[in-house]
Formats: sequence, structure tokens, C-alpha cells
Amino acid sequence: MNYLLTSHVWRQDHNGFSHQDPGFADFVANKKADTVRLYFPPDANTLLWVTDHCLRTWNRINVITAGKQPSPQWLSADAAERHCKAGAGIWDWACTGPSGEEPDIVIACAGDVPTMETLAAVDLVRTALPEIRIRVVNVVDLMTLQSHSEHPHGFADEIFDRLFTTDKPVIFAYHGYPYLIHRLTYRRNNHDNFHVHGFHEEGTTTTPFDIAVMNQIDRFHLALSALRRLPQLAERSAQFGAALERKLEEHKAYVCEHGEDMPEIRDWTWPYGTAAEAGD
Amino acid sequence: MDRYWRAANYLSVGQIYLMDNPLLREPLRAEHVKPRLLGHWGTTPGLNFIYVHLNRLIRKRDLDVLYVCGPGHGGPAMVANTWLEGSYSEIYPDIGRDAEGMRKLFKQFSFPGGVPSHVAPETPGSIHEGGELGYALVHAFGAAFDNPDLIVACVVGDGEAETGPLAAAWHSNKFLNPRVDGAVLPILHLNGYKIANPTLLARMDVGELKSLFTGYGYDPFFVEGSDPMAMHGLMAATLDEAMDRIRDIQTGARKEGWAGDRPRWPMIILRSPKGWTGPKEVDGEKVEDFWRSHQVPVSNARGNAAHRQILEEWMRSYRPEELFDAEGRLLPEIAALAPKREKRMGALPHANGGLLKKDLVLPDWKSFAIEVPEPGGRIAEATRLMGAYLRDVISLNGEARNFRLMGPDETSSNRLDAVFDVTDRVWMEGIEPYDVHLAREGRVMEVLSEHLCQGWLEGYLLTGRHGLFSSLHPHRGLHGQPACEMAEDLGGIALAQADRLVELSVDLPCLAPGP
Repeated sequence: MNYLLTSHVWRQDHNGFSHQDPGFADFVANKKADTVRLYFPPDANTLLWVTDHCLRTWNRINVITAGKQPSPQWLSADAAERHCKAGAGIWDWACTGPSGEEPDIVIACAGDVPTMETLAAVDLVRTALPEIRIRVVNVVDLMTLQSHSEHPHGFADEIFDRLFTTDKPVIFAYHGYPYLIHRLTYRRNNHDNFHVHGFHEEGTTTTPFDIAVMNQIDRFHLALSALRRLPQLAERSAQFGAALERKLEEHKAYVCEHGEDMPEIRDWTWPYGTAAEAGD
Repeated sequence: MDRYWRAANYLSVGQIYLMDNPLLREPLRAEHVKPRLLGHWGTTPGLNFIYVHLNRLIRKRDLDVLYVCGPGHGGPAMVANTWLEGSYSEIYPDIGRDAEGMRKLFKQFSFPGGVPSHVAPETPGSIHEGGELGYALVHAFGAAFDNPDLIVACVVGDGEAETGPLAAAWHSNKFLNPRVDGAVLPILHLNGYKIANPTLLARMDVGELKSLFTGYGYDPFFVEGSDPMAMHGLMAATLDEAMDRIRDIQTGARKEGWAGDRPRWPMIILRSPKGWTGPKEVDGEKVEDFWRSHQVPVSNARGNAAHRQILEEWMRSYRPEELFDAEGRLLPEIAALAPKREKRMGALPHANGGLLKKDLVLPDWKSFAIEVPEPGGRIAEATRLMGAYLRDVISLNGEARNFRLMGPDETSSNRLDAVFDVTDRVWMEGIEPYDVHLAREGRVMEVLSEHLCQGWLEGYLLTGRHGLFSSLHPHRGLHGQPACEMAEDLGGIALAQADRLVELSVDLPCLAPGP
């Protein structure tokens, strides 16, 4: 049984509260682990891989949540294939600080809008505080988060710990209700450090970015959340934090005045490029 | 045939009540009766009646018939009939076709370690988990799509007929093409009552009832009464007439020059007493033909000798000595009334989709991938690429006719419209010249009821085919309910059903690996 769910919570241009329930994933996650699969491909090539994979399976309930709006593309076909086969992984090209070192903080994401906001948040922090080591983890196959003893796709603890560390703060931007991430990860070593942003039943018909702001899954709130978990930054983070708060006020004033998102939001792109081949 | 029906009724009562002395060779004693009496008698004799008459129709016309049992409480009926025809013992050899097998058959029903009270995935011939209400008819239509030689007889209880999903499901006839799809014969079973109330459809004015189903596009045939012999004659004649009508429709539609009009398919409205042939009264209160027969009509048969006597008289009224030989085997002349081999409804391959499934032919997904020179260096609509991929999935499997895309009118909105390069939306109602991609045939099915999309796809998958449900986010309150098989809600519930069928099919001997 294959489901494609689009036009999800995070775009309410034409619709409103009635179209905002992302709880189908929670409902499916209740079902027996040997049948259910939840996929959150962040872009087109990952969606193609996931679709192809699902149409090859039997005895499964596959739920694919994907966007239909014009969105930035992150991974080439080969990179998408590697990433999807793993189910989740570190996006080296998006991390900051020297490669291979333990990060100061992990920012993780599942879903297309959370992924974009995560990368935009990384951009903000990287610009203001270049010395912070951020690791970006993207999750396509949500059930990798669950313990291997509970779900056949669940990562072994060693693999999970390699991605999420055992002691660093993890900001997790998730497409749906945040509790599901806690449910899936509660046995993991680093669970106490997980801070999940997701849908909080806020908002109705408004701009795409505004509904993200209302649920605090936008780049500014994610960056603020990261700052709060990095006490070593002290004064510098206070100044940066104040700037982020001002941005949120500016955003609210702008959308209420103009009815669309600020140009710097609409036109944001990942400014750093990468090596010859995108993604990993 | 009446003896066959009596045998099925006898076995049904036995399953609900007995754990020993299955053939009543000795007087019924307390220890023969189960300590906890669990099950539903009310709907069961009607289901048995329908099963026996479908057997006759199958043998007479050499049909492939799938029996979708909407009143899922009627587990005893489906188990009894598949045991009588032999398909049950083939799948579960431990439950033999003799007195010892009958004893086990009785004991295991609604018993720890045994089988559930409802029609369930482990019931031979079933694609429909009973108990939750609303999905029988959509499952039936899902099974009929792209199965031109299949007849799906779908029993809709008058309780289930009060639900929203079932009410919408009658419109499925607007999506069934008589040339390339099979037929669904709905049998609306008005036994008049649910748990402690009458049912709406049974109390409706007959003229209104007829208008309702005429308005849905059906031609209702009424079978009404309580005298068994009269009812046998009426039911046999009516099924013959309905089947003639189905064949006429199909023959006409499968000839050159078919105009493409939506046919007026027959349906049967069967009005028979709830708890038919059971105790008329217990403790001075009306039971047969009333809601008190819904579950277990004689509730204290173990502890109360008078109740036990009612039960014994009731079971003996079927005259088991005329039905089973000394070893407990169904007498050969009665057994001969069942269809043979895969024509038996408990052995129909369509009800075991894993037997029939063929893998999809899939294109190379990378040929649809876009170049991403660097992260964020490109803007695209993810689902638009998926649409191109699905277009080729539809083309490559066009001849196999085993893939459908279903959803609540969002194929285009979801940017999957590339599929319309190679197919259309199926639509049996009027088509205007300015309509877009509507046709009598098509791989895309769109209707706003997500219940229909979900149920059609489940029926389609469980009979061995493939598909994809494409939707916006399922609406609040629709899929988001905490769900178990008995919860009230719709999408969630239907999914619970799909999940249960899928998960059970992984382990069950009666089912090949499924969807």
C-alpha cells in the first residue's frame, strides 16, 4: 500500500487549518514495525528513488511525504541513491568546521521544508559565528531512528551514535508532530539532548514562511534554538540572538503589510556550493 | 440445498456454543458448552443462505465469485461454509472434515489460541476484515477493477449501510467499466436490527428505499420472506435473473460498437429475519427477528439447564443426523452441491492476491533525475519528476492492467499530470466536450471521498495488483485517530484494516505474500 502525501502542513496558500494535520505518520507509526515505512525525501531525486523503491515492495505500508512546490534541489541522482539507501546521513557539504571533528551541535532534519529551513539556519549561524562546528544530518527513512530491536530499518546504536553523537545537543527539524521523533528515539544514548521542532497546531492560511515561524520550525527559531544549546558562546550569542529576534519581528510586520514573504526569504539560496559532486 | 443451509447453520451455532459433543451424540451437558459465549448469531443464517445460493450459481454457470462479507460479525458463517466445501481443511489440515475436526472447529472459534469472532484475514476466501463497518462495497469494487471475469458478490449489512463510507461507496458504479472490469453484485441484507435498535434502511418506506437505489443507478431486486422453502425458490430465481442481467450488460459492452453508457447494474435487497431459524423467544422475550438475536441468543447455556435445553432443541432442529454420517462427514449428496477446486469461494485465487501478483515493470528512475550541479543550485518541483516516472510506470504496465493511481482529485494539483500523456481519469458518467482527460477507461481514479480511494485501492491490492494513493495531507479527523480495528474513524480505520490484512498475510498459511 503506497501513499504519496503532498501539499503538506507547511504550505497553506489556499487552504487552512483543516489541511494541516500531519498526524498520518504518527498513526502509521503505531502499526507493526515489519509492515510500515515512513519516507521524507527532501528533494526530487530522493523522491524518485523512494518511489521506485516502494513500487518494488510487497507486504508494506509505505508513506511518502514530499513537496510539490518549486524548491531547491540538494542531491544529484548518485548522491540521492547513496543517501536513500543509507536511510539517513551526514551532509558533509553542509557541515561547518573541520571535517571529521566532533561537532559542537547537530542540526537534523526530515522533510523538504524542514530541510530547507535547517540549511538556511546553518547559513545564518555560519555567517555570524563561523567557528561553531555544526553537523547536518538529513533523515529520509524515519524508521532508521527507531532502535534496531524495534524496527528492521532501525539503525544499530553505533551507527546512530556516529550520526547524532552521544553527548552533543541535537536540534531536529521535523515535518510533523515533534513527539514522534521523541517516541522513536527515546532509547537512544543521546535522547536527552534531542530538541525537536515540528508542527504545534499553529497557523492557518498565510504565507509559506509565516506558518513555519508560527510553529517555530523556521530558520530564525532553529538558529535561536541552537544558540540556547551552546552556552559557551555567551555574549556573542546574545547579540546574534537579538538580531534573530529582530528578524522575526521584521518578518511579521512585512507579511502583514505585503501579503508575501520578505525577498531575503523568498530568494534565499544555499550560498556555499560544494565540490564537484553534490551531497553525500 | 436446504440441507446444506441447515448444515451451515448447525455448524455456526456449534462454533458459538460448543467445545465438545459436536454431533450431539449424547444429551448436551454443561461441560460441552463454552464457559464464555462470544460471537454473533444474528447475521449468520442470512450469510449462510447467501453462500449456499452463490454455490449453486457458481456450479450452474461455472463462475469465479468472490464473496465479500460486509457483516464481519458473521465469522461463523464463512468458517462453516469453507469447512463444508473443504477449503478450510486444506489450509488448516489440523481441522479435518470429520467429527474430531468438527469438535476442534467449534472449540477454536472465539477461543484463546483459536480464530476471531469476525471474518478475518485467516478466513479462507476473505479479503475483508469484518467488524469495522463501511468498507465492504469499496473493497468489492476494488477487487472487480481490471478483473473482467470476476463476479464480486458483496453482502452489505443494514447496519453498515448506515455509515458514511458505505453510503458513498454506492457511487463506485460510476467508475466501473463493463468492458474491462468485472461485476459487483451488491446484496443489501435487511435483517432489520443492529445491536439494540432497528436499522434505518429496514424501516424506510419501500418506495423510498427503491428510489434511493434507483437513484444511485442500480436496479434493485427484492427477495423477502421467512419461510425457508419459499425463500430458496425466490433467491435462486432472483440470482439467476441478476446474473442474466450482468451477462447481458457485459456481452453488450464487450461487442464492437458499444456506446459506452453506464449500465444499470442489478442489486439484491434481501429481507430476512435477524437470527433466522434461531430461538423465537428466550425467557419470555422476543429473540428471532429482533435485535436480541444479534450476539448470543441463549446467554447462559452452561449454567442454566433451561437455556441449555433451548440450545439443544435449537441445534437438533437442523436434524444433524440427516446431514452428517457416523464419522461426522457431510453426506456425499449434500457435499456435491459445493463448487469444485478453485471455484470454491474459500479457494478462489483472487482472494489470495499473492498468488496472482505480477511484479511491475519499472523504468530506470535515474533517467528522470535532474542534474544538480551543486546543492541548492537548482529549483524544481519534486512531484513533477515523479509524475514523469509514474507516466512510464503506467505505459510499461498498460497491457498487464495492474496499476492504478487513486486520489481525491489531486493528481494535477500534486504535479503528477504527466500521467495524462498516456492515460485518463476513468469516468462512467456524462463527458462534456470541454472536459479534460475524462474517459471510459483510465488508470487514474479520482473522487473526493478518501474512503473510496482508500477502499478501492485496498481491494485492488489485496487481489494482487499495484497502486498508489496520492493526496494532499489527509484531513484532520480523517486519518488522525487512534486506531484499532474497532475504532470509529474512517481513513485511519481503513488503514488499520489494510495493515492488519498485510501483517497477518505475512504469516498465514492461507495467504500467499500480498500487497
